[in-house]
Order: sequence, then C-alpha cells, then structure tokens
Amino acid sequence: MSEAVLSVRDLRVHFTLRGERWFGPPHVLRAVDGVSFDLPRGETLGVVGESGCGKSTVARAVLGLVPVTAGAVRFAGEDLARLPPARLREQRRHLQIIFQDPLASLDPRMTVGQIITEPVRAFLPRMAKEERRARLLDMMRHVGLLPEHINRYPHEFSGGQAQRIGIARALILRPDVVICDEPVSALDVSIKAQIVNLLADLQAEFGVSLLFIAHDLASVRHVSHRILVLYLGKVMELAPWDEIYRAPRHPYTQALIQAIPPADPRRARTRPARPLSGEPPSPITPPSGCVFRTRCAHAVERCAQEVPLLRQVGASLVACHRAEEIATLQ
Amino acid sequence: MPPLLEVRRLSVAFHTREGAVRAVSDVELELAAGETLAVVGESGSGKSQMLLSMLGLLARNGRAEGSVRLDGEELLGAPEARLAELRGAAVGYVFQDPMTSLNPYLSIGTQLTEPVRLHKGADRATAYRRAIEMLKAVHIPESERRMRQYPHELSGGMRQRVAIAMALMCSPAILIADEPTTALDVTVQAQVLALLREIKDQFGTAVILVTHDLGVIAELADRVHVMYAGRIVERGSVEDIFYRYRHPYTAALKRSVPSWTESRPQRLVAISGNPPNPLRLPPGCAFAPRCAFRLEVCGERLPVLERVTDGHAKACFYAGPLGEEEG
Amino acid sequence: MSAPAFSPEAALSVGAAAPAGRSLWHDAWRRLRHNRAAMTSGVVLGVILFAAVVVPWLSPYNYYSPEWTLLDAPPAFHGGHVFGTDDLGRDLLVRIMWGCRVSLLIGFVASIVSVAIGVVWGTAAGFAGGRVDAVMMRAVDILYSVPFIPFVIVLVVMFGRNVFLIFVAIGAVSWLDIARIVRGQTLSLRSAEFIDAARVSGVRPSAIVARHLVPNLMGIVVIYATLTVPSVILFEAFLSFLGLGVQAPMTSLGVLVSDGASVLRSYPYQLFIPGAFLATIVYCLNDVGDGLRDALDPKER
Repeated sequence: MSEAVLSVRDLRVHFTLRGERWFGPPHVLRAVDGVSFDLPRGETLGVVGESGCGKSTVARAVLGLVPVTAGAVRFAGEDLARLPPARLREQRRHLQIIFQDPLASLDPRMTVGQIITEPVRAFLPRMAKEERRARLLDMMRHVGLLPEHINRYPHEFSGGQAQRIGIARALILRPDVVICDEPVSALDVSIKAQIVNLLADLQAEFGVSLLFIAHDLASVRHVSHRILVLYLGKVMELAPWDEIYRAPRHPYTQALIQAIPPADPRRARTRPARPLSGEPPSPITPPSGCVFRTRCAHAVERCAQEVPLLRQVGASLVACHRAEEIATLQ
Repeated sequence: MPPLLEVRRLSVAFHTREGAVRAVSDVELELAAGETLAVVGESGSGKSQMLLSMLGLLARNGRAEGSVRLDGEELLGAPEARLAELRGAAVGYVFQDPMTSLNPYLSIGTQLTEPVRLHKGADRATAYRRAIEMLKAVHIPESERRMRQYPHELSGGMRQRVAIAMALMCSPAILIADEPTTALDVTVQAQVLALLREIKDQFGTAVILVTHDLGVIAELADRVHVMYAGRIVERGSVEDIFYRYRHPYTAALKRSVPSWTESRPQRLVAISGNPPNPLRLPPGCAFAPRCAFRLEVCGERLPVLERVTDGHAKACFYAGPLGEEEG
Repeated sequence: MSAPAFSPEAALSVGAAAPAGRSLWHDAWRRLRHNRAAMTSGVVLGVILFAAVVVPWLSPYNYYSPEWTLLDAPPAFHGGHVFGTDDLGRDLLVRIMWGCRVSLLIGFVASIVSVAIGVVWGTAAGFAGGRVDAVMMRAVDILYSVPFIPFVIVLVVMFGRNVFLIFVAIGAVSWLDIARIVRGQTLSLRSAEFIDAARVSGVRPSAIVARHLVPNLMGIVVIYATLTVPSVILFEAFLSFLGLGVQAPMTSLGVLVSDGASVLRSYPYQLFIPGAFLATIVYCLNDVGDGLRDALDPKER
C-alpha cells in the first residue's frame, strides 16, 4: 500500500436539530460518528452503506461542504477541517467530486465547454484561451465526448453522457483525489459498466485516488482496492476487496452480501431467504454500544454495553466483539 | 385455458412537436393466472408506457393500438368508467417511488381503505379490518398505530410495503410492479423481494414485474420478456433467458451486471454506445449500432420474433455463438 | 490511451465550428412562438409602441397647443382629428400617443428599476441565509406595511409633481414583491447540486451568485417583470386619476382617462378611446407575461 494521500481520523459530523418541545433539549443527529481511513495514492477506496449511514456526509465533510464537528482530514500536510475558507478554496484544486445525479450537478444554463472549464477559470484565471480550449478538448476526448458537444447544453444529453461531463470537470485540473458520490446509481444497467470502466481507466492514466461511494457491495467490487462498510455513521469493517467477499467478518457486511440477489435463477431459488430484519435505527437516538446490535443475529449483552473498537482480525479491520467467533459465510 | 391477460400487437405512439415518437411497437405477451412475468428493459425501452397504455393511463398525446384483453374483455378503447372500475380492483399497481405514489396528506389508513370502499362498496369497519389484515400480510408491525400515521413518518421500505398492501386490497388477479425495489436500500430490497415471493405463493396473484435488475428477475420471475427500443427482442422462461439466451442484447445485459461470486475480472463488459433516441430510431434492428455481432442485414431489415424452442423466441438475424454460455 | 494532443490553433477552430446547442432560452422561445395568444398580444403591443413613437412625429398636431376653434371636436376620420379633440382643442390622437409613450415608459423603467433592486436584495438575502436573510426580509415586511397613498402624497408635497417622482414612488414599492420571490428561488437553488459543484470547482461565492444563481433566476424574474409592468401602468393611472401624476400639459393614459371621466356624459369618446388603449396595453402585457410563464416553466422541458 503506497503512502496515504488523504487521511481521515475520527471524523465526526453532528447536526443540531430543534428539539421536539419548545424549550426542550435539541436533537443531535450523528451523521458521521468516528470514521477513520487512509486513502493511498492511486488507489480506490469503496465506501458502502445504506441510506442514513453517513457516506455522503463523509464525502461532503472531506470537501468542506459541511462543517466538521470533530476529527481531522489530513491532506498534503494540512488539516482541511481546520483551514480558513480562503485556504480551503485553494486546496479544492486537488480534491474534486462527481455527483450522483449527473443532470442536477450541471448548471442547466451553461454549455458543456463552460461547465468543464469552470475549475480552470477559477484556479488558473490567467491561462490563455487557446490553452484552456486545448485542455478542454483533450479532457473531452479522454472521457469519450466528441468535440462538437462543446456548445451543447446538459439537458441534451443522456444520463451516461452527462456523467462523463461531470467526470471531465472533476479531472480537468488533475486532482489528487476524486470523490465519486454514487456515480452510477442513477444510470441504466448497460451504462453503469461503461462509466465504471472509464473511472478505472482514468485512474490508471492519471494516478488519481478515488473515494467510491455506493449503496451496495456489488457496485464497488470492480473498482475498489479496499472497501469500507459504514452503518449509522460508524465504520463496521475495512478490508481489501477480496477479503470482504471471501471472508466478510462483520455481521452487517455478511448481511449486505446476503442481500444481493444473484443474477442466477437456480441459485436464487435454492438459497435460503434470510434477509436482515428491521430497519436502521434513527441517527438521532442510536442504540447504545454497538449500533448494529438491534438487527444483529449474534448480539449478546456485551454488545449493548460496550462500543466495539475497530481492530485487526485476519486481513481486515472489524468493529465487532464477536468477530472471531462468528463463522463467515461460505 | 385462455390466458388471464392477452396482449396482441400493442403499439404506443406519442405525437410531439418534433414528430411521432413510437414508444412501443408490436408487443405481444400473455400472462397466465398465478404466473410472474418479468419485463426487462432500460430507459427508453418503452416498458412503462406499455403498462400505462394497458390501463388507459397514457398522457393525452399518446395513442395506443392493438389489443389488450383481460379475461377476454378488451381494454384498449374501453370507456373510462369501466377502466376506472378495473384499476385497483382487477389490477393492482405498485410504483417505483413510494414517496410520490402515496399521498403525503392522507393517513395510511385512509389510503389503504380507499380502494376497497370504492370498488367493493365496503363500509368503514370492514375496510378497516381488511386493511389491518393486509398490513399484517406485508409484515408491518403495530398495524393499528400505522393506520393513523402519514407516509413521511415511515421509512422507504415500509412505505413500499404499504404500497404493495394497497395494491392488493381488492385481491386483484394481476399485480403490476413497476421497478418496485429500485429506490430501496439493498437490505430493504431483499426484504421486499422475499415479501413479493410470499405474496405470490400465498395469494396466487399473477404478477407483471417491470425492472432492469436481473437479480430481481432471477428471484421472482417465471417468464421473461426483454425489451429494447419499444420492441420485444427475446422472450422465454427465466431459465431460457439466463442460461440459453440467444439475443446479443440479453447477452450484453447479463455480462454488464457486476457479479460478486467469481474472482474479479479485469473489467466489466460494457455495452458501447447509448440507448437509442425514440425520435430517431435507426432502420432495421434498433440494437444494431451497439451490437458486437451485427450483420449487414441488421441495418436494413427489422428482425421479427422467431421460435428458438417451445416458449423461447428471439428477434435477431444472427444465429452464431454469443460468447461464453452457462449450462 | 494515447492520442495526439490538440494544438491550440486546431483547438480554437474546432470550438468555432462546433454546432451551437439548444439552450433553454431557445426552447422557451420556441414554445412561446407557438402560443398564439401571447404572440398576437405581442404583435398588438408592438403596433401600439410603433404608433406611439411614430405618430407624434408624423402628425401635424402636437400635444400641448390649444386650438380654440375646435374644442371638444368628435372623432372624424376624414377631418383633421382622427380621435377628435379635448376640451382645449388639442388633438386627441397625438395626446393619446403621448399618453402611451409616458405610460409605457413609466411602466418599463419603473419595472426595470424595481426588478434590479428586488433581484439584488433577494439574492443577497437568500444566499446569505441565516440572520442576514432574516433582517433583510423583515425590512421588506416593514416596508410592505407602509400605506402607499399617504406616502406618495407626502412625496408630492415635499418635492412637487414631476415624472421622476412617479418613478421613485412606484419603484419604491414594486421591488418588494420581486425581492420575496427571488429570495425564495435563491433558497431553493442554493441547495441544488450544481451549486455545490461550483463551490468544489473553486468558484468564489460572489462568482457563484453572478454566474450560477442569477442566470437560473432570470426565468422567473422575466415573468414577474412582465407582470409588473401592467400593474405599474395601472398604478400610475390611478395616481394620475388622483391628480398626483404627471404635470399638465404632459399627459399619460391615466391623466387622459381622468380628464375623460369628468366629461363622460357629454363627450364619451374622450374617456373611451384612451380607456381602450389603456385596457388593451394592460391586457396584452398580461397575456405575454402568461405566455412567458408557460414557456419558461421547467416542467415543460
């Protein structure tokens, strides 16, 4: 594993909401509650979790789009969470994002060319027009857009093509890190593969590190070097991609894998249907101890009393008291 | 035994300022009682328009032609009053996004009891009892409390269950589910899929399942129709489609789905190009521009559905191998 | 992936040759063109505007010279005065055309001024959010509750009657509505993803407002502006009716209507003809405003 280009330590993002009663205590929504990870240079970290697990909030916190309550986001020797706005804006050159809904993230009143070159105009305002245009065309070629698309508008494109525009915009300044916030969730099945392949190719070519956020394990499988599983703002498991699939150690990871319906009728009919019961609890009133215990088939008393720490079990980091005892799924 | 639902040469066109858009062309399908039929397709395949046209729910500039017979009764062109009677009573509909398909201003109880009070003339007490029964059937705990709650107080998974319960209130013969799990989290999706399987077994409802998710199809479907650019390009039993597919689009769909069982291949096999623009469909086979096996004739003539084996048909001129196949 | 890099010259030429896309304005214009009511109204307005500019130039009469021999002459198409004369023998056609000029001028200029103020105030409040927003919008609420007519009367008493005053008075009130609407739009746009994208792309907040927020607000601003114009014109007419409007001999449609109303019994045409022009202008502006709203409605996309 090469050196970490981005290091997140004990990141916490808490939102204060008005309490229920007029003068009652305010509610605290613990969107992200103690997340730590390293992102090595040129590698992809897949971040997986369901709605409410805080994965999008992690992305926004790293970029400074939401205020960080506690913890550190270390990049290039500085803590992004503690930088003054002007300095943070400068660092944005090296950290970019691709959004989930391609059309919502593109200003409908700007042309493709203007959208993609906006970061250039913001960070390199003195660049000559010709050079900027050359960079634009080069980037468009890399993502598979044609030169004649320059003057078109976002609504004239399909979802997949619009996402390519977003990718071009994110990469035009050759950032060190690109956060991909569910980049293929809103796309058709046949287009998902195109975009995932494109991201993998661009990573190989530009050496960019990717934080790939998705809501299910199948999506991240083909791009990630390591995978982080989040639940209710906390890390459940952090492991190399093959370990996660071969030997998932956390009950939640196992449930996520179990939940993926195999695209194979014979296996689908014969496998036992044991879906995870219940719903994720509210992040305002998380369960004591291990936050997953309310849905965990292996929960014992200790799980309600003590918050499990992330610890090494085999090749993975797991936050579970009983990780060694629980048999992994075949 | 005649099929419960029989669709013949169904075509749907929309008249827009840019010209006529053929959303659906010459679709044929049959649904037997108790059977689950899956319709696979991506955006632009016309699958949703096909469903809406069967129930007379097309937008004002849409025209449907052909024949749709439910239990022998022709639906296309039937008077609106008759269609309104059938909707909800003979055919239940579950939409993709439960947040928008449930009325945020009405309580769950009101919305649940509405179909049965409307269609079967049930009084409030009977309707209430039936609603509680259905809530239990979809495994929503504390059913009485839920009846008084509003959609925004429930999670996405629960809302979808309520939507399923609502669709089943009048014990319809057919349940149409339009991407029922796409908007849900993976673990919740698994719950809802298990529920749908249970409903199928318990109530014997015939189901038309529209989705792009092959995993969902493998779980629930008995037979599958694959749609592309408004046409059915392949149809057969679920095993035919998954193990003995014959159309390049079906093959490509299968291979672009990330599977998590085998060791990771270097790249996902993507289908090049983009889904076709319904305004400007190419002559001949609509999939030809993206097809790895295209022949010259594919750009000139339109392939029609031909029998491969009993119950399995494909619309394709290419007859050679499609790459690795599973046994 | 390796491919020859583009040279700057080739780059520029490609850019120039690339076909222009179908912008949203273009789409909206197309939809507007198909709206027959709006287009007809637009044409009628255009004709009136043209006449208002050209007729006083071409006519041998002016709007202020009395003609003692032809007081209150009825409309005579083949005589000299097509619309007749008023109680001072001034040609009504020319006076009505001047009236249209003044009313339309006041309508558009006052609207532009109030839109400008309203947009700046509304975007600032909406974008800043929090306490700044609250303070700014409370100011709007307070101004809203100022009774308007006494306010105008006070202004007239202090500064005398002149056209400028009308502008100020009307502009001072109309911007409030626009500010509220623009603030609402800004609030909802602020959480749009492309705004986040702009922040991450390194765009400064001031540039975000100018380059991203304002163009996306223009649709709704245009609609409200075109609907403000008729209400401003009517308001000016009302002020003139009360005697607080433009100074004689300068006239506006409101003055003409007011003057005509006092001789309604004897010379009805002196009320009805200017009244018809006023009504037509207001109606057509409303039609065009409605058409714009339909054309720019994003759901139609």
